[in-house]
Amino acid sequence: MMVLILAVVLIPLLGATINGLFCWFTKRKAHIIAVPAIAIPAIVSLILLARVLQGERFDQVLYWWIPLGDFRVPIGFLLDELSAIMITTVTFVATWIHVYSIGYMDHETPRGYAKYFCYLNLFVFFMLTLCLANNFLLMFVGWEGVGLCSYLLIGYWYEKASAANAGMKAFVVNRIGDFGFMIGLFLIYKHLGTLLFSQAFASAEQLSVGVATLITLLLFTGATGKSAQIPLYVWLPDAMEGPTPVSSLIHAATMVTAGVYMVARTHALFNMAPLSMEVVASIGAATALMAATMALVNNDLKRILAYSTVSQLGYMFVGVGVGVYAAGIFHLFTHAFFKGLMFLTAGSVMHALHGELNLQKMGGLIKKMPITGWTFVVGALAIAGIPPLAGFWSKDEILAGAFMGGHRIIWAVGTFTAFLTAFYMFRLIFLTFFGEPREKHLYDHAHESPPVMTIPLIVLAVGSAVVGLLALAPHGGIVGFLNRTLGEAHEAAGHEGGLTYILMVISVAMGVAGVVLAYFMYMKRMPDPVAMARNFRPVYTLLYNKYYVDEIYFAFIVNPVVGGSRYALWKFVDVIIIDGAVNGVGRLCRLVGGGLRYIQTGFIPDYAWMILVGAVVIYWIGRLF
Amino acid sequence: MTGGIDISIRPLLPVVVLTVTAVVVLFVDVFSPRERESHYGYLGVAGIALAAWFALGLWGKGSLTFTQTFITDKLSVLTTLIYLLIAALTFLFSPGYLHHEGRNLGEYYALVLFAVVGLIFMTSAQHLILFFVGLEVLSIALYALAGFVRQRDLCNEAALKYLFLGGFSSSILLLGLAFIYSVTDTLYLRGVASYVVAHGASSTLILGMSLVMVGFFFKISAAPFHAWAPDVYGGAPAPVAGFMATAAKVAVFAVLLRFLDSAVFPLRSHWMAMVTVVSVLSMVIGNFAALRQENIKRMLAYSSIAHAGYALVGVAAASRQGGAAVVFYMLAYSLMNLGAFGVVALVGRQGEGYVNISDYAGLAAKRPVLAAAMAICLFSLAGIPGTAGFMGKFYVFASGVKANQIPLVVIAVINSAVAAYYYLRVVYMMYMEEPKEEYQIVFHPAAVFALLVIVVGIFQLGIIPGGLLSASYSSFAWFTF
Amino acid sequence: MGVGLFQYTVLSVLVFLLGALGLMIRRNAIIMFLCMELMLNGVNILFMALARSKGSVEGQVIVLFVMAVAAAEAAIGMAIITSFYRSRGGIGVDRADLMKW
Repeated sequence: MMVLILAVVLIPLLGATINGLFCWFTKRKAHIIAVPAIAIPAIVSLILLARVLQGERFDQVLYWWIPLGDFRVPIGFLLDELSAIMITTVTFVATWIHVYSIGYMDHETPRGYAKYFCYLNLFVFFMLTLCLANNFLLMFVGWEGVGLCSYLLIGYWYEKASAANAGMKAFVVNRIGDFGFMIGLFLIYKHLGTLLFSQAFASAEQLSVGVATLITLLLFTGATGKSAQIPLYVWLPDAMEGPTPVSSLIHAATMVTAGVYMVARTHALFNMAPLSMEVVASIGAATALMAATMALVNNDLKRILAYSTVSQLGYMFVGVGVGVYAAGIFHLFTHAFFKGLMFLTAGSVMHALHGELNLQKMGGLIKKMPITGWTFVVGALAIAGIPPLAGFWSKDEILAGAFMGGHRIIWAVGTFTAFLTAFYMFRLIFLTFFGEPREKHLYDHAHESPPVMTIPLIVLAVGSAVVGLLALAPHGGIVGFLNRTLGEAHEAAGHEGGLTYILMVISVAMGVAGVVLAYFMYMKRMPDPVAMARNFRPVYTLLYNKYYVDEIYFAFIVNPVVGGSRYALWKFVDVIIIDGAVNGVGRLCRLVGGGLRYIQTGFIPDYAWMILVGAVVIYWIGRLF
Repeated sequence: MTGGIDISIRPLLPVVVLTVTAVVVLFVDVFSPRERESHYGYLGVAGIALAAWFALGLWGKGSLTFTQTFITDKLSVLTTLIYLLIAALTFLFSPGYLHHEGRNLGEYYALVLFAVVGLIFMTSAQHLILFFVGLEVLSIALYALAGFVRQRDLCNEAALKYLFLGGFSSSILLLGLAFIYSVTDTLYLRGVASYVVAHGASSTLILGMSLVMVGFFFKISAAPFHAWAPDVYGGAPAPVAGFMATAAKVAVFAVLLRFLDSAVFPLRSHWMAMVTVVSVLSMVIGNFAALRQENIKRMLAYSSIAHAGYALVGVAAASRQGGAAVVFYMLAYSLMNLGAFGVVALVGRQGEGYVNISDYAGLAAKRPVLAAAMAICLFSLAGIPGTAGFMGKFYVFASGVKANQIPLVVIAVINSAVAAYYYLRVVYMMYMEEPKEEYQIVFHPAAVFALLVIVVGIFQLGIIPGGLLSASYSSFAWFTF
Repeated sequence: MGVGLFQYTVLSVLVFLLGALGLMIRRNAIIMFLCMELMLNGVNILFMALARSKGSVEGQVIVLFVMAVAAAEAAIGMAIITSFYRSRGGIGVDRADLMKW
């Protein structure tokens, strides 16, 4: 089992290394290395998953990285139900996104092409490290690693100012979250004396509620950064500057869910801190609602999907926050399929329309690109929660969990958000794929993407359609499987017959209502969306400008910090005090160095004197002490 | 060891193999035509590989033979392997260099092998006179090596300086041994230890100990006994300078740890003070003097003085952890220093005409691989994270902190910040300046291979240091520290 | 007052210091080299005296080793001095001034 786990983690690293070191050689052929470097781990992950299904488990330190007395840093892996699901999802989705990228990145320069695959493999390596780590430090290494790759890939087209800025923004915002995460790690080490998950969780009960709350809130701060939750979600929509497959893999399917995974992984700590759980659930619900409303009026294809991702991540946090960890992870799992799929279809549309992203210029594309269009519809139905597609099962689990756990308000917010989700997704579909083409020449040049891109779409569409059915598998389905490690915080989350069905019907009704409303507004123009926007202008403007959050951050945080830095720190402290001091010290050092050189006369007898005098001094010091 | 003299040959096998190889190389040199010269290096490497194989077989099989004067423990085996690695790398760098100088002679390789024999005897000695003999075998070989390119004035000057100052310091060390002998009646390390435990310190004993330590400090080029180092490293042929700066330092640090632990541990309040003062002086003098050097070999020499100071922090910790950290540090230091001197040898070209830092301008544009290797070695010397140099410093300083040597560690950290300046100056020169000339450097495949080994080693120790670190930790298992 | 260990110790230290002083104030490489031998022999006297007074052979054996070492050092030393003479045309160590600072 150890060999298999190592293979899963190291093969992507090998792929990245080959493409990184030999990009001048692999060039256009980079995918020949890169795709198998993910596909093989995907197969191995399936084998591992099968063995975990049979009840096997792996938790072992393979290597003591810094074995220094009592401070020892381990490198070890943990494979249980949770990580098995994670690595299977990551490698499966990543494999198809790699395949898709072959077609999508077609126009890149040969070196850029190899570089792109190198980063992508490296990302998968770090993501798998994150998922398989058996201690906080290695997890943090993976955590930082995926952040780094994300930064590199957002800024992949770094000549474009907006891409470079978006990369910077993602990096800075994530740093804020990581800072919290890091302090959390220190506190864990301080209070529990270990970084290993198994030991830390076993002794979690020793923590006082106060300390546990502090630690978990700090960890959650990290999660809000990585998983784009209020207040740190602002980087994700901008991250759409990266190539679309990157948005699909990193900013929808895998990396952004790391925060959810982390919370689920550390559930033993969160269970100790009810207050933190409340915070997680509330932030999740608020983010879900807020992001969904922002998606309502946006006209940018990828940004709508980005807000939708933020919103769905909110659902996942609701799930882990109300204590149904398995449901949260289940949603993470299904979301990886349908959101990965939708980003890839968006990429396919962009590919066909030469990078056009504005919904208002599209329309009727389904005739030109049927595979892209219909696979998108499958994804949208899945996210809208229409049974029996994937999103229905997982979203329903979360909402049922929230309701049963007594979080009625959160349940109501979640259910309403489900309605909004269905609405904005179908608004997008009707504007893009149906109706009359609004820009004639764009439409005329549109074409279906090559098979290397459409096959991944079909595979993921099938996945989006069926993976939800895993909920019906024997022994409690996927949720029961995950619960073998995660446990249930509330026994009440078990199914109570009738009530469950009522909740289910309500959420399905919400989804259908959203679809229907979108159909009438955008296909039949009744009520006319333009008139609506005019009638509700303040609301529209507020939503259109994303609640002015970016502006507020700029006005209250970025500008004061930057301005303060520039005038107070840079102009005064830096230039005058620090530079002065540094240059002064530097000059002094060189002066001292210059002086010291003259001890070195080059004359043997002088050196002999130095040795003799030194010997006397050494003896004198020895006598002194 | 029941009464009779134990002369089991097994622990001596690496030494025997090296000696035989050296003699064979000399004979081959006599009886072979001039054009086959380049094969001595490979013959030497083969002998080293065989010796390393025998040495590996001794790991974990401790023994104390030859009337209890020759110990084979994990420390001696580990350091033996390090010497062999250093010698092998030197052999890979040397043929190309010596060929250009017209001095690719068998005795060069024989001398290096004899030097390694001396090194092994030093670290394995349980009797101080055996140590002295090992030290002299090393020193005599190094005197000859320093002046090996005898038509070059600088080499002669280096050899002369090294001869006089080395002889001077050896005499002082010997006098120290005599003083210790006068008090303790024996020069067995254990005998000295049992005397010290029974009778405590006396001023003659401390005098003897300080004089012996002066000898040690001289060999590791610690200030104020460092003055020879810049001149000798600056004058000696670059591959030899690399060998001298690394092998001798590793050995003397190992012996220093062994001496301080096995013989005079109860006097630690005295020797810790000495080590601390010498450590601070070495770091400060080494780093500050290096700031103003224009000759890269002299710059590296001063840097090696500073590195001796850093490693002494681990000695001053007087703990098992400190000892392990010092051995680790020494290997890291050896790799990066050998790499740097190896590049210097290549860039210097015939007659070492290009050894100023300004000669490295724009090297990266013309010779990217060479510049990258140099940059990695310099980053490691400067202690940039991810490299062996960082990990080494980290362990040494961590052991210092643990031993409550906070002021010393603070000085060390400040010093390593200062040091970054002169290392990065060379990197800046290589990458940012415009090339002034075509670099007509003849690549020797063996040298490139050696650089590759070094770069891989630097990253290996910098990223996954666990294996070596636990090995060096276990080699101090017997420490009373 | 007979000649005891103390007198021998004083003698050996004096011989040693004489050698050290010679190394530090003379300029002629050959003389300096002889002074180095003087230092070693000063220590040898001490070892011999100690061995006699303690009645142990260890010190006497050490002297043999030191003499062997000194001989080897003399051989290499003379070679180096010869080579230096060839390149500088003299054996004054003040000629060794190419490297400083």
